[in-house]
Amino acid sequence: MIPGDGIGPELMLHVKEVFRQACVPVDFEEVRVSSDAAEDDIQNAIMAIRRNRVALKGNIETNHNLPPSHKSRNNILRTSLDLYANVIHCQSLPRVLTRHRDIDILIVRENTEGEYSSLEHESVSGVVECLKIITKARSLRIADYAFRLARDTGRAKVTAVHKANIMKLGDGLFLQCCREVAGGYPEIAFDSMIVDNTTMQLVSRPQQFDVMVMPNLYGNIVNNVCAGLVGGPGLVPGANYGRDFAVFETARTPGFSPAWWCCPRSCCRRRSPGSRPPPPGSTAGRARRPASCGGGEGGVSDPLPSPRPQ
Amino acid sequence: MATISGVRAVAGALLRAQGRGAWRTLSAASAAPQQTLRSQTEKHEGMFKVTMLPGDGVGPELMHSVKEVFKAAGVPVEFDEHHLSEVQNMASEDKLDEVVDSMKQSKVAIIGKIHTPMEYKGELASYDMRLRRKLDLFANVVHVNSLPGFKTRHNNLDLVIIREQTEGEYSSLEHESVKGVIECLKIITRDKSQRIAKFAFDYATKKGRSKVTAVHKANIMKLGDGLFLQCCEEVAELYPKIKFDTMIIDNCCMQLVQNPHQFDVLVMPNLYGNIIDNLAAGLVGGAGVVPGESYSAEYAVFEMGARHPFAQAVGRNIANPTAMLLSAANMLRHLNLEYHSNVISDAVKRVIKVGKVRTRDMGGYSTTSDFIKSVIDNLHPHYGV
Repeated sequence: MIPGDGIGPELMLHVKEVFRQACVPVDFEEVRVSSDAAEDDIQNAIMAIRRNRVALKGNIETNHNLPPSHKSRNNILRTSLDLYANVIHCQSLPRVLTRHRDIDILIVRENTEGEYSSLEHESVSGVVECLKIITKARSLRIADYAFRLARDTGRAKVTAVHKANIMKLGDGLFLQCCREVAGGYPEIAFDSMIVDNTTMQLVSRPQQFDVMVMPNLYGNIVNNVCAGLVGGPGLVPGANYGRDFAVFETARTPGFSPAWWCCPRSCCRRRSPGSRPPPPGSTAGRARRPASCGGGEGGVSDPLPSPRPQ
Repeated sequence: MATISGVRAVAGALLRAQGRGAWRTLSAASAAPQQTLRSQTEKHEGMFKVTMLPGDGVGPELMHSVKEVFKAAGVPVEFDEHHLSEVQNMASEDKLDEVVDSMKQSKVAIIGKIHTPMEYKGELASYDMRLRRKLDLFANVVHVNSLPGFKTRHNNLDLVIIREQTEGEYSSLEHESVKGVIECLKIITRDKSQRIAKFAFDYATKKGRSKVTAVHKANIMKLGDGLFLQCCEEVAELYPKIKFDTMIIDNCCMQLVQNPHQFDVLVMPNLYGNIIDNLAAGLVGGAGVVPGESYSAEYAVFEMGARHPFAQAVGRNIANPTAMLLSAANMLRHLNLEYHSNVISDAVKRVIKVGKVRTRDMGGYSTTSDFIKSVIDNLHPHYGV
């Protein structure tokens, strides 16, 4: 368990409480990582995850006023453990009043390359070049993951989100890889959409989307748009999967003030989707039931995220 | 101390640039065409000359609508049409030069969407991008306004989105360094970032706006978006009356979906601008209702806010001409034809408010022609009274 910064430690306390009450046979090994600590902290955390193979994580803040040599902790974690797929399940919860109903979207986002390569340099004074890397191997891998996930969860359609009309080679390669993989899964419909049209459709008719797969930056944006549609980041569980490890967290959003947004539901729900490396199914069911009951009654005292700034 | 010297440096750079004639405030930009057009009006019997590029998809239909409405309203504008289209193989360097020459004379244009084909045909930069770079249309302004009488999930929205249009992710610089690995370059420069920041603050000052929010992803792209943010902050110090705020793009998208009323003016680099334009357009009713414009130091181009060719609607007479008509009205205001501009925009707004004639994207069953006919009928100020 990595509590992280901000509201992380508070939420982790709640998770431990719920697990204790539901008698879930899970033992937490806590590792503290803070954003301004040394490299050793994060290396300890990575070693711990290698030992236990499953982790529950809060958000580790990235202070963007620090020099560029100071890499984002979240990024180091993701790339060292090769957690290549970030999966977020956005679902309209009953009794949560939002402007849209009946949303059920699985968003699969490539987690290790793309715009987050942290490769930037100032070639001429006043001109900065940022590199965005797209590779064939990783695009094939994430596309394969998305289709396998769709098949395992019984979904009917996968939509690839890209901007290949502008980044012809880069996103063109991503799209080509998705099409190749789609050929191997004939029972699943494959569609592609440009990211600007996608955001417009998400805001007007989000019910048309089923599973979405995309590179890193668009994934970040679409995740946040969908989280906003179902009621806020506090209601959306997320997971990062690699070949050998899994790290569970909430939808990644920075800079929230603790008092208004402390919504532990997301933590409870996110432990349940761990259907690969243990926990056992029965205890996951027990933990999930209180979470959906809490949402169903509507009278439970969680402050439902109304986005009024403090 | 550092901030004072920073402000002095920026102010010095701005004065020098103004001396070079590279920058212009909005008021100067609108005054300049008037002077050149005044000399032209003597030649063309009071007609203003405007370049028109219908583009692809439903562009030609929408342009036809604009021409019909202008004819009915008696607007003294003459269109100089050029057909530049990449997907229909009507594009070449010569055509591009023709369009630029026409623009040099008229200074104002109204364009549809020039669609970019997905396939890589040997050219990384699309004609749309090349046109924008040749004319140096660095600022794209989309004014997202809820239309009265048309209820969407969010009502009474009034946002302005200002987007840097010539650099950023759209630099069209890509290469395959190693087989199977592609590098796309995103370029951010100090000059262009300062230019767009100054444009944004000038726009806010001119239109009486109180807050400017810069949207970025500097936690990941520390140098690139960090530079953009730094330039915005430097320029913000010269405008103490306007509040300046920053927000990361992912948080901004979520806030737009949950609480869009907190935003006033947004300024951002190219790709984020494209996404947020479309998102905001979706909030008020889709691509068919939001007009947009692009400015450079010498030219002004009027177009749709969210650019989509909408090829599925070609020939079916179902496209929504609202955005194009509102954009044309903005163009008339830019040409200082206030009266005609108000007549057309009032007519369009009245048709939407009454709600009897609505195209399919707004939930009605009317065709484009019905809508145009209704607008033309409403041009008369006492229609329906």
